[in-house]
Order: sequence, then C-alpha cells, then structure tokens
Amino acid sequence: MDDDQEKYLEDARKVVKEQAYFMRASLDKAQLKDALRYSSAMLSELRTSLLTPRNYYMLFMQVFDEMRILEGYFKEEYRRGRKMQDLYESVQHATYVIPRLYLLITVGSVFIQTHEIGAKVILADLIETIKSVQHPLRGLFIRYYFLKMCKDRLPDTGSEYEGEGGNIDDAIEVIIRNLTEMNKLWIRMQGSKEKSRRERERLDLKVTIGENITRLSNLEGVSLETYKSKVLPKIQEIVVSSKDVISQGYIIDCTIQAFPDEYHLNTLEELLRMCTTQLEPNVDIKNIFILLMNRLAAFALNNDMNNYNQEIDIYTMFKANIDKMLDSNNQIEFKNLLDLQVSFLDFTLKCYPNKSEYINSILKSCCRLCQKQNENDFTEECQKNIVKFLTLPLDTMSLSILTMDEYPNLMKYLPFQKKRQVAIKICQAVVNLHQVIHDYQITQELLRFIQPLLITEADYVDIPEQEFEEEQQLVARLVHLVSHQDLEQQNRILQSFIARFLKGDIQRQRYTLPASIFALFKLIHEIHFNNQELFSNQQLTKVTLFNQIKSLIELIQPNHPELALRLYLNFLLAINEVDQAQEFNEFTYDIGSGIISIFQDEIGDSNVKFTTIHTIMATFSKLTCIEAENYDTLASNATSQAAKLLKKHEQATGVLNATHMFYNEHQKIPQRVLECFKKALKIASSSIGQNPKLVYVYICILNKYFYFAQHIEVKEQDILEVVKTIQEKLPLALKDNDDQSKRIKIYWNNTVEYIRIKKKGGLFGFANINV
Amino acid sequence: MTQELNYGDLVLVCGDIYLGTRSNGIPNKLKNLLQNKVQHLIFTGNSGDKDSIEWLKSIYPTIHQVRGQYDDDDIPENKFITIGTWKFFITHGHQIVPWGDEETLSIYMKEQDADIAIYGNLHEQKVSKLDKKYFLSPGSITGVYGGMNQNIRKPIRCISIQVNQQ
Repeated sequence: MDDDQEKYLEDARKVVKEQAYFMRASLDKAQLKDALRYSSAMLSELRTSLLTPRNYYMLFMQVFDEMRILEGYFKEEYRRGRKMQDLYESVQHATYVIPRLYLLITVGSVFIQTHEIGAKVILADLIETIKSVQHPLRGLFIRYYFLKMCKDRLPDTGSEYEGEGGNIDDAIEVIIRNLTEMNKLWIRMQGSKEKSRRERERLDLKVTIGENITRLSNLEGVSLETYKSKVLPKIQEIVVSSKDVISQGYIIDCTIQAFPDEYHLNTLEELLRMCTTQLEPNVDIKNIFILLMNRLAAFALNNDMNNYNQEIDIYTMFKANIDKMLDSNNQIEFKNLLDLQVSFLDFTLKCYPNKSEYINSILKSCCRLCQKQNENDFTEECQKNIVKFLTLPLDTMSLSILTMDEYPNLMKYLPFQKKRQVAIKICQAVVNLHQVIHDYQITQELLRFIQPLLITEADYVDIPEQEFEEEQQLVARLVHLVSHQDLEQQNRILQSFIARFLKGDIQRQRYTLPASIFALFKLIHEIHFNNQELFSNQQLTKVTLFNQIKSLIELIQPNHPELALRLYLNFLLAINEVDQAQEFNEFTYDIGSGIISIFQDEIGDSNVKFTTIHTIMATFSKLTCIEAENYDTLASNATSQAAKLLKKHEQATGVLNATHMFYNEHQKIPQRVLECFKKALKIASSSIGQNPKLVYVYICILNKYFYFAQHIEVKEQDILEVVKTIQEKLPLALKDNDDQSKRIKIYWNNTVEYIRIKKKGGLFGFANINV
Repeated sequence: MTQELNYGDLVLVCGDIYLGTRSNGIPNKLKNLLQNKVQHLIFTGNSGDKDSIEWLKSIYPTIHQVRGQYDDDDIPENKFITIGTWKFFITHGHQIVPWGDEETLSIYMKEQDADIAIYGNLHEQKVSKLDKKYFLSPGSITGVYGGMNQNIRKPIRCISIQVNQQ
C-alpha cells in the first residue's frame, strides 16, 4: 500500500514539475493564455483522490511554490496596464473546478492589491465560490490556500485596505467563515470506519486549521475588547457546535497558545465554563487546564497578578472547576487527576506565594482524591506526582509547609524510597535557604518527616554508601541551623535532635553525633559568654552538659576510636574555656587519660601516631583547668608515648616538642624542659651511628635550644656540643646528595644564617658559636 | 597606567570550613564575590563534607590543600609551594607545637627556604612578621566554633602578590 502511495506521489510530482516548466517558459514569452493552460494542467493534479492526506499536503506545497511565480506575473500584468477585472473573468474559463478556483484565488489576491474594488467585496466573492468544493481533503486545502493568499490583504485596522475596503469586523468575519467551513470538512474526514487511522490523518493536517486562529491573533485590530466581545464568542460557537472531540481540543489549545495571557485572564470565566460544561466527554480538559495554568504561572513570574485579582478571583475560579472535575468525573484516570493537581499547585505557588491557606486547601483535595483510590492505583507515576506535590511548596514556603495538617496524610501513600526522597528534599530546602530552626513545634514536625533518614525501620531499603553518606551529612548540617535567642529554648530544640539521633544506629551516629557535640560545645560557649546564670538551670548545668557530651563520644568510640580521640581533644578545650576554677579537675583529668589510652591501644598507623601525639601535646599545653599534679602526670604520659614512637627520628623530635608542654604561657617548669632535651639527645646519639641522616634531629634540637634560650637557662656548653656534633656528622649525611640530603643542607644553611644574624645583633648566647 | 593597576596574581587563602560537622553552609555571596577572580587557592584544611571541596573547585580548579585534624589521611600534612618569587609553607597547624607560634613556624620554614607561612587551626585571622618572615592565618571561612579565640568571626583572606617583587 505504501509503495503504491510513493508511486502516486512521484507521478503527480513529475507532472507538476513538467507543467510548471512549460508554464514558466510561456510566461517568459509573455504568452499568458498558454501559461494559464499549463497552470491549469498543473493544478489538476490536486484533483487526485489517490493520495493520503499527508502526501496530498506535500504535493500541495510543491504546487503552492509554483503558483507564486504566476502570481508575480499577474502583478506585472497589472503594472503593464491589463485590467484585473478581465483577468478575473478569463481564468474562470478553466475546465475543471479545482484549477479554476485556485487561479481565481490567485488573481483575487492581486486584484485586492490594486485597490480598484474594496477588499471585502473580493474576499466575499471568493469565499462564496470556493464553497462549491465539498470534498473534505480537497476542500480543506483550497481554503488553506485561500487563507495563505489573503494573508496581508485583509481590511485590518491600520492596514491599507481599511476604509472603503472594509474594517476589522469584515476581516474577522472572513477568517471565521473560513475556519467554520474548514472545521466542518475536517470533521467529515473522520468518516465512520478505520477510526484510528482517520484520526491520525486528521492530526497530520491540524496546522491548516490552526493557521486560521494564528491569523486572527495577528490582526492588529483584535484588541482585548474585540477579542472578548467578537472573536472569542465566535470561536466558542464553532467549538461547541462541532461536537467533535479532536476539533474541540485542538481549537481551544490553539486559542490559548495564540492569544496573549492578559486576554485569557480577562476571559477566564467563559473559558473555564466552556471547558467544563460544554465539551464532549472525551475531550482532555485536564490538558487544557494544565496548559492554561502553566502559561499563567509563567506570566505571574513577570507580572504583578494583583492587577488582575482585584476583579476576578482566579484561584477560586480554577479551584471550583477543578474540584468539580475531581468529584464528578470518574472517567478521568487517577494519574491524570494528579497531574492536574500538581499543575494547579505550581500555578498557585507562583501566583499566590503568600497564601498558605490556598496551598493547604489544594493539599486537602489531593488527600480526598487519594483516599478514594485503591492501593494498586498508586503506580510509580502517581507516586512521583505525590512526591512533586510534597516538594514543590518547599522552595517558597520552606518549613512552614510542615505545619499544614494535610502534609503528613499525603506522605503515608508513599513507599519508603519515595518518603526518603521527600525527606531529602525537605532537608535540602531548609539548608539551602539557611533557614533558622527556632520553633520547637516545627522541629517536632521536621523530625517526623525526615524520619526515613534518621531511623532504620521495617520498610528500609539499602542504598549505596556514597548516597548514604551524603544523606547523613545533610542531616548533620540541619543541626547547625538550630538557634534561638533564649539559649534554654535552643537547648530544648537541640535535645530533640539528639534524642532522635540516639535512636539511629552507629552508621548514622558517626555523622549526626559529632555535629550535635559541636552544637553543644557552641551552646556552652554561648552560655558562658552571654548568660552565665543559665548554668544554674537544671538542664543546662555544666555537669549535665559535660556528662552528655562524654556519653555521646563514648558511643562513637568503639567503631571510630580516632574520631573519638579528636572529639575528646576538642572537649578538653571546651571545658578549658569555661572552667578556670578547676571545678572539674578530676573529670578533665579522666578525659585526658582516656585520650592517652586510646592513643596507646587503638591508633596503629605510625604516621597517624606521629601527628596525633603532637596534636595531643599541643592541646595539653593549652590546659589551665587541671591541677598541677594531674597536669604533670598527663604531660609526662604524653612525653613517654612520644618516646615510644616507631622511628628513631620521630621519637627524638616527639620528645623534643614535648618541651612546650612544660614551658608556655601557663606552665613554667624549666627542669622538665631540660629533661626532654636530654632524652632527645640520648635517642639521637644512640642511633646516629647507623643513620647519619639523623643529624637532622640535631639541627632541630639546636633550633629548639635557641627558642628556649631566651626564656630559661641553657648551658652554653650544651649548645656548642650540639653544634660540634652537627659539624662532624654533616658531611656523611650529605654524601649521597639525595632529596633528604638536600633538605638537610637547606635547613642547616638557614640555621647558620640565623646564627650569623643573631650574632651580629649581639644577642646573648650566640657570641661563641662559630660555624 | 596599566602598571599601577596590575596587582599581579591573586591568591585566595582560606580554611577550616567544617561543612556539616560544625557549619551548615558557606554563604552564597562569597561564591559570587570570588568566582573567576583568583589565580591560586590555598586551603588550610578541615573541609567537612565533600561539597566544600566542590565549592572551592568552583572558585579555582587547583587547590593547594593540606590536612586538617578532621580530614582524611591521604592529604599531605605540609606543603611547600612557590608562586612567583615567593615561597610558601602551608600547614594546618594542629600538629605544630605550640599552635600559631611564629618562632616554631619559622623553624619549619628553614627546611625549605620559605618566606611566608600559612596556617590555620586557630580560627583567628592574623598577619604577623618575624625577622623578615611573614605569617598568615585566614581563620575559619564559616566562622565555626573551635579556635582559641573568643570571638567567632568569618574572615577569608586574599593576598595579592606582585610576581617580580621580593
């Protein structure tokens, strides 16, 4: 069948090409009569009944292009003085109707341009004559041709044809008549058999119908008033009386797309009434509504809707109509009704950003809708819509959405995966908007909604590790948004979070608890600096808070000892900030010992051990909240741990750095400092024989001597000893000239430079050093 | 005219973001302010969530990053880099005893001829000089709790370096 079609089309096109060629040749020789004969033959191909609509369209376009040439020639003829009237008559001699009418229309179009007769007269005449073609396909196309040819020949307001040739009413009349006729033919194409094929064919040609509406919308004279009083009623009449599903749907669609949104806003009531009460039952009203609402939502972004809302309550209008659809029409699928509701919600959010009662009302109708369904109705598509429903308001309304009573009711229709999706979107909205969490009630609601992220319940589904990590980190960020002027309230809200976190498992707590711990540190800091009286409140005593923090870190310790160690270190500093009175001396000492234990037993990697012991020592050296004896024990323990590190140079430098624990802004125990130096030297000297590069340690020791020499009594002799050792061992260390050697060399050179400068400055102790 | 306006390369120095663990987010205004303006980025450590690294990369794709005490182990402890004729020593500083001490830092700088030390950990914005060496701490870009300083502020630091000057 298709092959035949191809052949028919090919044949027809060949004829057209051939006849067009002869036509052009005749025109070149100014033989009009012959040209008309050939054009007639060409146009005769459009009399065919063999082609499918789509193929007919292609043939039509080819003929159309050739007719342009003829049109051009007619114009020339006029300029040369030929009477259009005569031409108009002579083309009517063509034998067959179709060619005759095409020629007539072509001449007519040129005739109008001459202004010899009023435009409306010619147009009326043409419309009358083409009435005779009643075959659906051919009739449709000839009227399409008419429409195209009249494009700029209508007596529009402000056009050259206005006045004697007619006015805007005439122009509208012409197009409406054409649309009416075309629509009738289009409907007749449906026939009674082969329904789906016919429908497809009709849809292939829909643009020919749509062109009429576009033409109407392009008329200058169609103002809002004119549209409202003259154009829309006529389109309405065509739509309603046609009683054809495809026709109604398509024409309304075109109308909405072609005319400006302001026009629609002003005729909304009529439009909606028509859609809901006057159309055939199978017309997809939902799609029309969605189209309209999407356009108006976009319009609202750039325009102030208040201008329109004063006279007409758009929201109520839509709501009334949509509710009618939800309640009455059982034929519309659940999924489609949800699509509609989502569109409506989006529209309302954009046009009425402050009206939370509208949103709640839409949520309510959505709930009502869901209640009527069976469990099986909630397909993947429907669930996606419900998720959209729950997350669309978040961007504009953020946390206040959680106070809407209908919100939780919708969540229960979702399976775990989708609930999780909504929970994540809620967190993201809150975090991205930097929303401060300061309301206890809202916090409870929030925690309820993000429960899928907090606690592993029966319906839990596993997710990839990375996703899980991101999810938990998102939750952690929420904690830092908790803030209230009244610190007691702040604590109350924070405790809500912590209580919930405690119900989760360790994989979650690994992320949520550190965030909570730091929030507690910050709380303690704020109470201490802003309102110390609060420390007497039962929930906020230092004992309560310290114990809570300790218990939280203890939960993390078994699975993540390194993390726990770092948290304990921060804990020490937090206590230190608020306990100058050393009230918690023993407590703090226990924490310190705990840190040493974890270091000793749980930290295995030697590199990690090296940096960690330094962090420990640096932290200890800041503590003023521990009594002297306890401090000495802790510091000495840390020093011995340093001495037990894996590599010799690590041991030496570790012990060397321990000096700072014993001499700093708070501690001044020169004796211990010198003990450390002694130990470091012992370790270095015992191993430098095997490893000459340990001279590096000696350079460190030397620099450290210089550091302390300004504060405590360092024997000049000791310093000179070290210098001597360095000078002895240096050549051997630098012998192989590898990277390490190069570093040692630079280090030593800079040290030498340092000594030289200090010597020049006459600083005590440097006088006798000769390098 | 052009000579006067040429500030040389712009280096952004920042640190201690702690995204997620101690802060909820980096202010959007910062991103708009900093994007496409710098030629180098030095980060003193403690990024928190991976998002913060993404954020930094959007400012400038190459980050000179060092390890903070809460960062992963595969990031370097210290870094020595050269920009123009200036040599930088970059460290987070939690492992340098004592914290923020210029003399101790200059001992580390002696190992590689560094002129400028950049360090974090104290969450305090500070510029100092000792014996022709410079010391810079950008503080915490998110102003989180945790430093030794009482005031919680949110500073970032931008140094401008004229490439040919010593």
